[in-house]
Amino acid sequence: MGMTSVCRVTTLATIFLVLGVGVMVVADQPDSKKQRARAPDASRVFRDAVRKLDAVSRQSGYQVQCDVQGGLSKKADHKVWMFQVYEQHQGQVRGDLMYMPERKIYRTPQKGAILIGEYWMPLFNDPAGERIQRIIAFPAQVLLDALSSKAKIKWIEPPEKVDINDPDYVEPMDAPLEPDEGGGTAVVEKKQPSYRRIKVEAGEKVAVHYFTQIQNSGLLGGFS
Amino acid sequence: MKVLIGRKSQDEKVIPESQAFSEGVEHIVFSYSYQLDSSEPVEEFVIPIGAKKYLK
Repeated sequence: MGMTSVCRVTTLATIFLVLGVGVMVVADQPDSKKQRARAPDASRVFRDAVRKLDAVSRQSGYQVQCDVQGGLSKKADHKVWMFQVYEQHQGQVRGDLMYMPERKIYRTPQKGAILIGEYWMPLFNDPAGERIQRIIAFPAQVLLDALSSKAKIKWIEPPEKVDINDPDYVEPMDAPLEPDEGGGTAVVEKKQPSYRRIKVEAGEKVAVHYFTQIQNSGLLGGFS
Repeated sequence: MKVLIGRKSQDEKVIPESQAFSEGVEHIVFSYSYQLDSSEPVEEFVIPIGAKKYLK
């Protein structure tokens, strides 16, 4: 008796990144038109951030922690309701080299070596090593890939954190009406944008590349 | 970073891109959270000879 598993994954993929940046913005600009005119160019800020990270990486390096979560979502905000993949990895990056001490791995964006027993082996010879090589991209490479694609780049606001254990927290339905909510005309004051987060939707080519990496890592098997 | 991957519908039909990642449509999400710390310089790596040959 045989069993056939039907793979429902398609090659349709899209990718977006959100990164925090530091930008000096002149405050107190009451005129909204002026405010819009003076908004920093998100594409330029993103380009500068990518260059700076690359420079830091080559000059002094950095520590990196990467958490990967994979699951199914039915939401427009892509919130996952059923997790099937969770991985956490740490490493140190200097230029095109990454060292991952937990697994004794040295790697470049293309290849690597892993210590198995007393012997160094090619990273792709070990299933866990191959998975890491495919799913843990170099941060600067991710940004460079996005930059080199036809990416859509825009400013977004950080999500407002709600602490439901806060004694002052009130369920939205129980909250008292604001003075303006009682009726009549309300004047909504627009918040000054913070210009601290950039959202980048990378081009199709980049999306397909990262999709292929995930597919080849074997991690999509659980979604069949 | 989020990578969104489309799925076929229950009746094996490919869902168009405009709907594949919308409310109510099941799709796969891979979410990557990178935390970088450059406050301390990372020492130059001393790569063992046995590992070096696999990096070239």
